[in-house]
Amino acid sequence: MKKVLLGFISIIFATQVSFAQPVSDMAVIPMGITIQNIMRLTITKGGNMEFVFKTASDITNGLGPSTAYETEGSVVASQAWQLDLSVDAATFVGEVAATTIPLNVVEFTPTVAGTGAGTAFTGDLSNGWPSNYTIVNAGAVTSTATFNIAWECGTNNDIPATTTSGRYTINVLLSLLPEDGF
Amino acid sequence: MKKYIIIVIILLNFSNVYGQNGIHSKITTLTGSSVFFPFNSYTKLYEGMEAGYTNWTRFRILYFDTIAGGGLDGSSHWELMVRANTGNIVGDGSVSPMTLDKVELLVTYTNDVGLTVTTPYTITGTDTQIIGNGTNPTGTTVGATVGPNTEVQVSYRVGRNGAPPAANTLLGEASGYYFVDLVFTLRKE
Repeated sequence: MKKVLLGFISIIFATQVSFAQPVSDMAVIPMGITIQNIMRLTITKGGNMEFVFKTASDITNGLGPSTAYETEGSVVASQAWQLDLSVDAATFVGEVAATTIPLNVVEFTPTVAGTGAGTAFTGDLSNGWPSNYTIVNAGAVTSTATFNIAWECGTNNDIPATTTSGRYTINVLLSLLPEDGF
Repeated sequence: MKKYIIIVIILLNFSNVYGQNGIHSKITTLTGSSVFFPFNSYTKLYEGMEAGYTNWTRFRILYFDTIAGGGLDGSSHWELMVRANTGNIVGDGSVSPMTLDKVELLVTYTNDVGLTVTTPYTITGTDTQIIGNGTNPTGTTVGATVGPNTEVQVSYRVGRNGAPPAANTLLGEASGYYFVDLVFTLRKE
């Protein structure tokens, strides 16, 4: 009995009393942020362009550039942007006649204005086939940038003399994109 | 002999009784245990986000620092610290991270003293005192030993440090999901 008691006493002596006090406390608040970049292109004028050649002078001199042949639009972008042009066919396609008109008869001269408007480049529609052609680059964050595209047809590049009468169409696509390399 | 041994055991047990002083601190999140900012329009990106996030997170603070023999230590004060647990606001996947200064806090402290901290705190990766004893940016002395009714409200704003577009605007940042954990620590000052 004495040995048991002595052993018990030894255990008590060997026992270390420990305390854990809450001297500080923490709370964790997870925070999430979602960014959806805004790229908004609005055409405000000249969404449908029609060149009507009805006189010999029109054929000889071409049509445009003039206010009658302008497309205007605006850009809202929350990051660097560029405006690309492309077409959906390799030539103008006749509605009735089987003939076609080459793309380069239509030329364009874009201009830009406003904060973050970037730099504009001229060209003709053949630049937009088969891949995109950048008509405005180095656009910066903006809500006020505007652009104007002055169109002309048959002024520098004549409509081929073999072209038959009729209506020839093509779709021009303007694409507002994040600037290359962003 | 047996009687002496029993007496020794009893005395040893008495020796385990302490009259100690110590600190008890507890921070409890009442509301706003997470916060999310959806930047889904140009206006939000341009102006930043703040509206709707006033007093978003509410903490209840409990802090007691006792003195030997019982009672509260009137000279003891607590402080509330905050930090981000990463060095930046991490972008999910391959999205590049954003700097922590995009996020700011506004803190309101309510107890018998009452304090509104109007100076916004920019989050950093190291502990920053947002409430303390006489060292908070308003110069108001607060942080005395307080009971269970003390409450701290935290408001958030993102990309809104100044007139739009603010210096910490999110305009130009890449699309994606970003995240960071804010760590609030209550401790003796």
